[in-house]
Amino acid sequence: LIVDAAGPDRSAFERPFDLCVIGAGPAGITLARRAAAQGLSVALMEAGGREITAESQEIYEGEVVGRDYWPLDVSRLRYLGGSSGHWGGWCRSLDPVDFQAKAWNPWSGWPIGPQDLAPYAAEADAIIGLPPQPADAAPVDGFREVFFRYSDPPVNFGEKFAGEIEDSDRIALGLNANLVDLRLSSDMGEVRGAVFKSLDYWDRGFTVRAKAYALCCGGIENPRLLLNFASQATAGIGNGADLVGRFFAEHPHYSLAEALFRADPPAEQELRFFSPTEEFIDAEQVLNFGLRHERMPVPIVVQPGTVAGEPACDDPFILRLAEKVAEVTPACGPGGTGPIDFDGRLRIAHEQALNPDSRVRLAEGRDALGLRRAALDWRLSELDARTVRTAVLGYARSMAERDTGRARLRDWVLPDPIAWPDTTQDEVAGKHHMGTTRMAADPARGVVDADCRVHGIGNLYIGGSSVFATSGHANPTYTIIQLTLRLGDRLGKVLKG
Amino acid sequence: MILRRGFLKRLLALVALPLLPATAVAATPPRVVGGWVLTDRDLTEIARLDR
Repeated sequence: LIVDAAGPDRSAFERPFDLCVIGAGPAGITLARRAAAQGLSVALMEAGGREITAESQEIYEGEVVGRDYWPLDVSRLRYLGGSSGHWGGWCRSLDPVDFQAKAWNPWSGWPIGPQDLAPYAAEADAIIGLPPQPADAAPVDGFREVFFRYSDPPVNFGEKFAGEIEDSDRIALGLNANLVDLRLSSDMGEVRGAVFKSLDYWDRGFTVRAKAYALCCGGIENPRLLLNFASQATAGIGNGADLVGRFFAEHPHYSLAEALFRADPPAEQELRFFSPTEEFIDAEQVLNFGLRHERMPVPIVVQPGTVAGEPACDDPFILRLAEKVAEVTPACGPGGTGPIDFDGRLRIAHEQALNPDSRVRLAEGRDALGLRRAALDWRLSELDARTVRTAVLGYARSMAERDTGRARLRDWVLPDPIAWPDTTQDEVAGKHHMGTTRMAADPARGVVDADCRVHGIGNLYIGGSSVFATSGHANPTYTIIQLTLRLGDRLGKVLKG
Repeated sequence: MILRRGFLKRLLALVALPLLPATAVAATPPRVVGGWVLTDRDLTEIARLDR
């Protein structure tokens, strides 16, 4: 059943449900389907409609107050299917090392392990339509080649599952239903109702009641909503330990070096990924990463001086050296700026260090529903810088020693403090929003427990990458699907029991 | 003669552009010279040919 909650007939939501899922992106749709498959009645409430609209997207506007970042209404989508409407389809599970606590990354460690998510791999593969996962290659010099799988074309969860939901007698999907409050019991130990409104200014709203509620609105919106709902819990819902919104993590994405490669690889090897072994991570005390080794089909042409940030080659000594050493006429004459052509580059996407000061807060400005907008204060740390340097130096050294190529580091990588590029210079981030309602067994260290239930609130759960305790380096969607399938099974047992 | 191999010749041509005289950042491998990550053999070859 699909109902336009902005329309006159909302009677479908007057009855009590087993589960109210808020947000119909990959997490919310997966959770609703899993719960319905176990016989639960589900109200699936989506703030947007079937198509992207400027009016809905505008609610996502916010402030970027920390490191330079993409506009908040650009890095996520507010409509049926959520941000699966612009994802690239890259899939890989977290590595076992991602679940471990590491002393050099305080707060790290999950209360669950890969064995808790593995049972959901086959179902996740089927939902996303993935081929079998190739095994990682044997490590060389502390790096092992790893493989991504691709949803091709990337599954748009709204398009793929709208028909099934429409035909379902267990799922009632409400479109244009914006969550504006969660009403708590007087002891604030349970959610008693979820209040929704359309974007019509005169709409007085309606309340959905269920045995349990699951917030699945993304890594920025989940904390924004919880922090906004302060009429009963003054610090915001689930925020007794002042952790909601903290530990915002991305997958920083940067080009680190240009490279010359000795041999032309087969076409299928033009894009390869290398990750550190656990021994490398422990020995170097760094974070996990995926180093992307890209051979470009056409050379990357770089003007001397722009790579190094050094003067163009107008030094007679340099010119003499170049002529003698290389037995060629240098591409640039005195004062000239001839190009250097590289074969490819080394890029990285890495796990971000856990940092409570990297966070989503509330801005002063309010959206059309009267809720305070998000302010993103994204911060990278010295551990992030050390990870980037160690990764590229280690890989470039291995490449040189094996004589497979040579790399020239970009000039921002080595200086201390590191000079991170901004969004005018590089991709910067994957638009992956993680960690803001992190999972921990101890309520003093996380917002949700190992079952994704908000600490201290008996029937409020969170789905999606905001529960990630650490981010790993792999794109988050696959892990989101595994986690929400697991959450669906937990809710089935709890609510049917 | 290693320089007859096009790869190293091309590498050395690039290294020898404005990049070579920069300060070595690391004294132990990986050796970073002017941003390039090079082996001792690379540096030896460049030095020998620069005589």
